[in-house]
Amino acid sequence: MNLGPREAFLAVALIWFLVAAVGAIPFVVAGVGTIAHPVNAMFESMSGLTTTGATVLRDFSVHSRSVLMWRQVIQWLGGLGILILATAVLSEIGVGGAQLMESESQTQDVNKLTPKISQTARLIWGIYFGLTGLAIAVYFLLGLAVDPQMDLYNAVAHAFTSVATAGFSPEPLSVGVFHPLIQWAVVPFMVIGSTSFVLIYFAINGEPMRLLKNEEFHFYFGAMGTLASFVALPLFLDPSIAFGAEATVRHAVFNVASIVTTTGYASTDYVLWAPAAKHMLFAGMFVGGMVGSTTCSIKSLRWLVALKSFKRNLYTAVHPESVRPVRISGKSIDVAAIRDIYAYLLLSIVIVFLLTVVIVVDAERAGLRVTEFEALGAAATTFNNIGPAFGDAGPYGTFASFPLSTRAVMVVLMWIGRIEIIPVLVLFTKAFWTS
Amino acid sequence: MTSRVGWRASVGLTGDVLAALPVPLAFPLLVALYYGEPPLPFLAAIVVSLALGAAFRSV
Repeated sequence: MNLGPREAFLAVALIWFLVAAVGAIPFVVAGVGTIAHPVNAMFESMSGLTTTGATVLRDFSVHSRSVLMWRQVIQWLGGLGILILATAVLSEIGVGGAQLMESESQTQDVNKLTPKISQTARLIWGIYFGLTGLAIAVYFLLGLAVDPQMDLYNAVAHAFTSVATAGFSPEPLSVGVFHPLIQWAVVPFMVIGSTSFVLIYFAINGEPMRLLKNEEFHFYFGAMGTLASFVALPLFLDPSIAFGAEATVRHAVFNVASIVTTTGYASTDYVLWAPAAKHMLFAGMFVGGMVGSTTCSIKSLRWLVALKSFKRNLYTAVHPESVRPVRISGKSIDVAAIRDIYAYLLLSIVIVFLLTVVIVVDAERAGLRVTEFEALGAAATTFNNIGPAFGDAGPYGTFASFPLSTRAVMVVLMWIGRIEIIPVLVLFTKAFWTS
Repeated sequence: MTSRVGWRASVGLTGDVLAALPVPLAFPLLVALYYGEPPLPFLAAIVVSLALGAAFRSV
């Protein structure tokens, strides 16, 4: 079966939508709680498959363990799907600068090792399965040692959604219900899940320096560390929050890692935090992990290229005669890729802004009170596939508080955001079908 | 107007993926059986995914 770029776009869009639709069937047939409604079931399934982690559940206790486990499985499946999509499809057809994975010697090197896409997929599957197994073992053993609530069921459920950087939990209080040691143990799995699996492959095979010297890796960790510091500071200074030193650092690190890696777990209800800390978390919603990982959002490589390109533009404004290519990890970036990245960034921000307007207007139509910040947070978290937002849609809240029409729009936006915008939008152009 | 998109290949690949969906659906099905919960939600999804998969592959 030969798939060109157009066929790949169509297949990617169809697969993501139809698998989410089939994934919604168990919720509707079970007929329990908010997710028995078809739109809510589709919301939950699309949120799962796109590894978003936003939920419309209100009462977790009414759902069977198998239905709650299906939410976890569909997220794990979505993480696996996006890895294959990112490494084998998007990089080949160059969506929004995804071709930079080649200039970063990532896809290129994997393809040298495994010339067929099926082999590349198997390689990625192996790492993904291995990490999931390791997470199950770590969580279960820690559960045995410090917290009986982390039983085998919860260990499997949370391993599925931490390696997939997805964020669903069968527990209404998310990871916050577990012992602090378990919360610390979840952080590395979220971070590994948002690190390039190709570079992880090289690190496992005795070449850790390829990962450690990678510029995107430095940028990503730098951004995460900076945001965690800026979140911890207002928490230390806020007299109404008496966490203590360890808990303050843990909650800052955990929740920043959760947002930046686009996982969406929570260790506490950060809706109650000071506005400065919440705004830092909001900023973190636009960072994203590394390309070639299970992460969503804009992704660190795009920001790195955009920032370097902007710096280059400032230099050439003063020295117009100079020629300064943008380089990442020593390799110059093609001008067309930089243009694609600018377009992707602009499109992402415009879509988040438009969705914000839809949320506010639709809430007002339905007689609900949603502040601009809450609407911005909900728009960013659904389109960037992160999970919880602020206000009623916070980490211990539910998206069921939004009108049904808003939730339907969010379903579409989660779908578009997960497969990097272009594969869906291009289907609505005449040129795609005819020229 | 003739379409320039080989949509049959895209639909066929979608069918392959849908036909494989019963594999992950088997996991919550086993969890349901283990905890003595109704397996119908997952059996229904398996039947639909197999039917859709077969239909898409035959295009």
